[in-house]
Amino acid sequence: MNRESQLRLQRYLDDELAPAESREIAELLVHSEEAKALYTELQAIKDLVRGNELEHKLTESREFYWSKIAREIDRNQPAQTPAGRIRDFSWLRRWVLPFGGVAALAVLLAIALQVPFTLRSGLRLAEIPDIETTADGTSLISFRSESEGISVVWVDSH
Amino acid sequence: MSTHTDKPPPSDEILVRLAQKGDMATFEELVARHRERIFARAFSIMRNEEEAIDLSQEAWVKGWQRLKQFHGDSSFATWMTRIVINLSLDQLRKQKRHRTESIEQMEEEAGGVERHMPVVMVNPTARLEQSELRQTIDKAMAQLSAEHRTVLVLHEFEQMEYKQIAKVVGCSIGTVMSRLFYARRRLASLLAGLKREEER
Repeated sequence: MNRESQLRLQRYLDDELAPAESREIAELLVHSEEAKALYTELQAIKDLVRGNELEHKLTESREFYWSKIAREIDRNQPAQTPAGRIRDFSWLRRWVLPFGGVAALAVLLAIALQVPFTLRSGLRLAEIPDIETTADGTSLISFRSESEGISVVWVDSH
Repeated sequence: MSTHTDKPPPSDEILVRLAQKGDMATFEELVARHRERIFARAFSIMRNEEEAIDLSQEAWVKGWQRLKQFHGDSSFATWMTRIVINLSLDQLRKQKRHRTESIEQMEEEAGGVERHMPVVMVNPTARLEQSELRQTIDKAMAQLSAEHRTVLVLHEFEQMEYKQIAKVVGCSIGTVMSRLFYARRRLASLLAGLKREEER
């Protein structure tokens, strides 16, 4: 038998031949002892291997085996998360950042408004400590306008 | 009197759906269910326990990362098996770059030495228990080259067709047929030899 015939015999065994070719091989098996012997050997090996895979058991415990997998998954998590964990937090980011910005602006604005208010307030002005000078030949003239909200202090040194 | 009936464990389909939503605990359950099978397939190709463990764990990491791509066209176990087969074949290709061709491979590629092997009548079931028989076959398969063993594993254990094997391995259908033929004939010869050794 040549190589091509041997491979066709194997294809017949594995049901990989077209029906017309299968009939030819079936015919060959009736008349050729050589083909029949080879076919019998191939079939025996096929049947033997197919039903007899040896079970190779893992020696590692479930926990130990999983720990390495979990570590690797965690290491690659940000880039390749199958579920929407990151998306779950993304809505928060989408809202917190703008609102946070607006809140910060509001606080700054309130502080900015508070400063002239305190200056306008008489009570707050009263809290400003008096300035005293003991230097000879120095005189002070002060002026305060409540309507303008300003105080002017004129220091005159001779 | 109250009767207590245990709930059947959730199916793979249910666990996969939960895992696809990001439930790691569910994925761990899937790993526990199928880890032996995935390891065994890597081992049958690599014949090295450490490598097989590493490859099977890498397969699970890949499985998690690609879980959204699993649409249930095959069973989850089959899908995972394909992943570990691909990783094992990649590993073999990497190793092949660093080693010379095996004698078997050179013999096969030089012109079909398997054609001239005498036909062997294998009947190892005659006196062997099934566990012994399995060990004998496993021992013989370990002696095949990785290329020949892989084709045999994919055809007989995974029941893939020639076309599928060619696609997974990355070779022509002709090469698949040739490797399978050689692997079977060599295995017949090895089994006959092992049997003779035991009889002595």
